[in-house]
Amino acid sequence: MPTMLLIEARRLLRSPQFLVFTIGFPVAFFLIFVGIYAPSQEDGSLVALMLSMAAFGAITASVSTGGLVATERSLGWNRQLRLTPLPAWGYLAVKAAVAMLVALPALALVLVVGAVMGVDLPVLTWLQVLAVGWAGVLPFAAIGLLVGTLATQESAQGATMVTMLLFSLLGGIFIPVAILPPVMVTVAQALPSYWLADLASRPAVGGGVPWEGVAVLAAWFAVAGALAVWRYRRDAVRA
Amino acid sequence: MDEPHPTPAAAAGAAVALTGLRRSYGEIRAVDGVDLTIAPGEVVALLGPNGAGKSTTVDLLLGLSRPDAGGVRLFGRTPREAVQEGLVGAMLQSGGFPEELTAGEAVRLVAALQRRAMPPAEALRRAGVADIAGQRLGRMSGGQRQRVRFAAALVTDPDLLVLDEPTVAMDVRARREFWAAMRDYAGGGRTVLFATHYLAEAEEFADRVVLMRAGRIVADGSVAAVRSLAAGRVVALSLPGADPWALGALPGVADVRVDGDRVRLTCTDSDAALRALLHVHPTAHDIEVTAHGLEDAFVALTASEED
Repeated sequence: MPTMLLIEARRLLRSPQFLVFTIGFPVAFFLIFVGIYAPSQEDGSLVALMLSMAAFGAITASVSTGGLVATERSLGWNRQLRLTPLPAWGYLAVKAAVAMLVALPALALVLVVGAVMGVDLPVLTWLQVLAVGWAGVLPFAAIGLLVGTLATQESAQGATMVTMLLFSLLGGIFIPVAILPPVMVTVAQALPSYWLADLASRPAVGGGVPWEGVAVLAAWFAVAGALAVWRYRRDAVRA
Repeated sequence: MDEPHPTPAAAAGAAVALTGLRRSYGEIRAVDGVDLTIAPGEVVALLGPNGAGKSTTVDLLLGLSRPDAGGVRLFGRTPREAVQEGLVGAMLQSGGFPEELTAGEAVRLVAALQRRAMPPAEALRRAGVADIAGQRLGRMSGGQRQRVRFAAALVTDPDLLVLDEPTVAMDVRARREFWAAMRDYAGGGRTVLFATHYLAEAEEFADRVVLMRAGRIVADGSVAAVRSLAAGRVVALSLPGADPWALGALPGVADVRVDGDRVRLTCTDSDAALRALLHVHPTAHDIEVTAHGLEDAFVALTASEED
């Protein structure tokens, strides 16, 4: 599997359009929002916006990478892989790792842009934000894979787009949870996107570890991952 | 063969043992009761028109699809076990490799996932694509891509090689080189099963031909034996106002074509057909009887009854 991961990573580097789009998209959103809201460093709104966009970037990158599985399924590549000892979970684990690899620069780039815009945090805090944010992406890698194993090549792009927008909108990434009605707050708190943004902000804005959030993230990862494996196995019949 | 055969019931010694295999897709019975045993070292062509059930049979055989009924044993093992042990290599009809990969990467990747494998460079050389190992698959011709897939199928040095329509998209030269490589491989006592709808390939490269039609095996034997099974003749005649349905119902007639007054009967027993024909239609004239080519044998054996 290390060879596979290496080759898969190299493969992605050969699709610059994909990388520019998935990594550049959240930065573009960040800049647009900065233009609209003119947040400031003093009241913490710039940090908050940066963290939201970092979460959005991580979600976009990992979900779209998972969505690429749909293309491989339509190619019949996974049928060829089934003629090797590689188990279904092994294939999906490699794909999840690739999604994580793409999410890292997407996350980091938003933070870098944030620093350039004037967000000022201690070095250790930057690293903590990056590390926590990155770890929180894992459920989205699994969700992306689930989309990739359910969608067809034609529907994959739309499906990943809808998935990441829904999670971002309902999870309070585009709209602060503070201004949402109570019902929507409950919905947001059941979503991994809410907790990804929340967890990533803790090192910067303070507060202990929200274990409830960790549990929500772990549950999404477990359920989406299990469904993806199940779906991938069933897909054996016809590509 | 030095392979152990833990399940003697499933035809001990067989490289492939399919028993009572059935698989439907909705209303379509793609594979409708296939029994097939292939001994180690045989080179077998699975021949049939499109839709005969060849690819479904290959999928079932490789464990890519589950049979509704019946069993599959490869060297006495389940398909999955055989795959895990690297005993099976396959070129699938719909087994596309990602286009961003180079030929070398694709074969290296498959080799890395296998428990045993020859050096990827060796597999590329055997498949005749060593010179384009650094090229991306997306920039190759269809024939070149096919041979890269052949290299990936060879890389475990499998005991059984399964090829589903391997020469589709190859030009004449690529085809010749491909079969030379295949022969080289089979020369080492390996078992090869290839599905094709090219008669010439079956005739030239197989020891044995298994003819499929509508999900069933309709003939099985050496090329010569299969040809003689359909050792009928073609009867051509002139008959104004011929009714193809009535003619098709005559004894010994397998296929009817009517073109104006001219009728062409493909017969499994031309004597019986002719006697019956002249009895029913004494006005038939300009009768010619010719022997089958292999092409006609193929048509006679694979034409469906409803035609």
